[in-house]
Amino acid sequence: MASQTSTLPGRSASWQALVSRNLLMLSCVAVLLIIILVSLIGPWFVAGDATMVRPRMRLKAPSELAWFGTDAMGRDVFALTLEGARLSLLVGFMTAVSGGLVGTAIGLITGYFRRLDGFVMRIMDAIMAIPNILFAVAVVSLLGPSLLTIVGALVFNEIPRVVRLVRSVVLSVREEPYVHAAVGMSIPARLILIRHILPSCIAPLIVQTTYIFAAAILSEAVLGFLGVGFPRGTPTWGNVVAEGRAVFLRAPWTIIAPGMVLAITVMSVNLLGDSLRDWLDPTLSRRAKVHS
Amino acid sequence: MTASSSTDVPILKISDLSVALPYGLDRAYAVEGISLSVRPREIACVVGESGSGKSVTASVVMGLLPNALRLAGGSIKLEGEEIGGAPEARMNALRGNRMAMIFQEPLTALNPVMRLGDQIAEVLALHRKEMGKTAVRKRVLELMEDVRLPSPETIYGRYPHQISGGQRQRVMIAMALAMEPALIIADEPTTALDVTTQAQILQLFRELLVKHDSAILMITHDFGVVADVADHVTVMQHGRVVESGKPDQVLGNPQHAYTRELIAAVPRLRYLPDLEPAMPMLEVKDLHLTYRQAGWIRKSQAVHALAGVSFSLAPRQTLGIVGESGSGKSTLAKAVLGFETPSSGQILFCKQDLFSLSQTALAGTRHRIQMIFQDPYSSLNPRRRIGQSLVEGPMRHGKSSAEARRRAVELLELVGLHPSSMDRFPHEFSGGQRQRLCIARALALEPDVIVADEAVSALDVTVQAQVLELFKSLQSELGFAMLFITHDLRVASNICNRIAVMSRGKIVEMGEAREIFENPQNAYTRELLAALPGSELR
Repeated sequence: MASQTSTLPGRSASWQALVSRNLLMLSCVAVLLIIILVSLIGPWFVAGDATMVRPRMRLKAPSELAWFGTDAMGRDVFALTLEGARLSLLVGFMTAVSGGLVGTAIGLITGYFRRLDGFVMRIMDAIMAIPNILFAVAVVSLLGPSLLTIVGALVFNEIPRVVRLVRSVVLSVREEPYVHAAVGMSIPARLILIRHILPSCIAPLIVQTTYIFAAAILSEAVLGFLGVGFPRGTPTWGNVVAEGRAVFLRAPWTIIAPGMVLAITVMSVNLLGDSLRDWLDPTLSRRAKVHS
Repeated sequence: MTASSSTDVPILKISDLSVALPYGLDRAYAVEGISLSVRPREIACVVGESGSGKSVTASVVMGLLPNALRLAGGSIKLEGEEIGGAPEARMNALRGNRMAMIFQEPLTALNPVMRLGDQIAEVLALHRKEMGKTAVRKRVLELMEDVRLPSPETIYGRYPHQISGGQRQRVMIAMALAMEPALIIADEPTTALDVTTQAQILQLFRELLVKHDSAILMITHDFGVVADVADHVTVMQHGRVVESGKPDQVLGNPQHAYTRELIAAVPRLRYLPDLEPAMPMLEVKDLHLTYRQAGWIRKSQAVHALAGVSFSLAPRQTLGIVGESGSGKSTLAKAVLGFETPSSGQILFCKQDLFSLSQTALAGTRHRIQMIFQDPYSSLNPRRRIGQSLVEGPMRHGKSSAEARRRAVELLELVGLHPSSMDRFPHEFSGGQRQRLCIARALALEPDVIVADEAVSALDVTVQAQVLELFKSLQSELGFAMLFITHDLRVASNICNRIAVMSRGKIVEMGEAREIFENPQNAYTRELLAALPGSELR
């Protein structure tokens, strides 16, 4: 048979082929980059403090002065959305990265050292049984809202999913002859885990963390909407939407505009995760199925 | 052998068939201009090594070509009807009905969550809608009877994992026979089976041909099988037919150089003398290993994988462990390598009991027993360069990086590979080359004992012969002892000084290689020897 690597889709040499095959993935990346960039440099372009209350400007419809209109306190919704993006994206990023790291560590260890497995996995099952929003609400109301408590509360619920994923990969890879060969050479367990097992987990991990990223942004918005997220007045997407709720019938733009940005972000992240999965694991993609 | 019946019209006639490979591979055609025909009640064998195009030939007849491949020319006639490039609907009507296929691995070819009887019945239900439920059931039981499945009524309600490999292959054959097809295509049908089972299945094929009046196109790599059953042989290499004819003519008087090479590479029984008694390197004493299947509801079951195994192994000696699947030979290898903990017994390595050593002492000793596995494709970490794999072990045991790399290059040359292989990845090598790399990796640790578990079973015969030769020369140069585990008695006879025959977790007979083959004492050993395919080739 032909060598396996040359037939993998999405690894072609030419740039044009690469772009046309991964159009969806690249457009998701582009959308996310734009949102991140605009949220980072945006505040310099929007005049004045986003959170400044301007009573005379209350509930103005979108115009060239305020692209997304203004809210009940006269604040510019566009500026608030940009400010909110920073915090929301930060929460998503921190949750995804810390959840990925902690979950991978636990997953590698439980998958490899089978004596711990039963015990740790039952704890993971118990964590998964806790409704995540409920848990986050409880933690944030007990410890007070801050970036750390919110991220901590969200990460806690995501860890079991990562652990399960990594553990399942470890369980199959540890039986591969090359791992046995390493054991037979008395290579210490930590090196076996890092050199021979971890690399097989990377592809599914990247995909999983994008989903966590999207879920965390949504959860943060839900917390804000329920009034237990960041303190009122702090611009996050959840808070902006929550404050717009009261005046939704009179000024729908206060919810629609930030809601759309939130939806587009989450959708791009999820689509990015899907296309990364197809790209990294060709056996799962529809394209590969047609050919095999 | 079987006289062809009333007509001489071939059931399958392939003429000048070519199948194109996707652009950019090492050759343009998977098969190129091949012609062959299969007559009624005939077993036609297509022989060749991996990559010869023999399996592509089977799939193109069945209309199951992978999408990347394309029919480039020629004709395929099934009972006079042109089916090369026939529409999918017509092929669906023919498949299972006029032609059927039997695969190498019956476990994956059967649906694991469907009762065996229902799987056979499904074929009938698909093509004979007029048959009633009771009629179908009756026919399924008849078929099971035909393929000699014990107590068909019981097997009907079983699932694939509950029966043995040989029985699964019988179920596959029953499915293939269900519609009385004119042609059965069998792709390596006995390769995954034990020798004694293989002999029974081949016997069954011969009987069924007469009873059901069909023909078989058999794809195989094994000249022993060819010698036993073929009425007509076609030898393929690189997608072309190099030779074809009656088996006694092709095997007895091969015309083409490649055929001669293939036949010469088939391991013959050849014996190495036993060595002078010496201080044993490795001693295994009364080893027992029992797997327990604990259960809350069901009673716990105990499987005696090893039941009192003892042997000793001297430096430079090769002990062959032969036996069929389930005999405990792989468990024995795992126990010696320290991957399984025996329930009782001792493994003495240089007079030290491996199981009484502390963790640290074991880590300092364990690498002196190295292993080589069956599957060369999964034995090397696909993400690491060959150099990285070769120096990892020695560096762990105190060699400097430069020293380890220098030794790795030496070893690569010793196993017949170019030093530039150091910077390449495993997927750039063929199966035989990978097995050489695995040998180099094992030797990098300067082991005293090498455990080779079916180390040549996955290789083509010509490659197999080369690797066996390599083992022998390395052993005489480096002086390690070897535990050579195999299901193939011929291979064992070529490399082992002593042979131990295992059955059900026990060594039933052990002795000098020649003694075992020429004067077997045990009934099971005699049975194994009798089942060896291709007695003409001995």
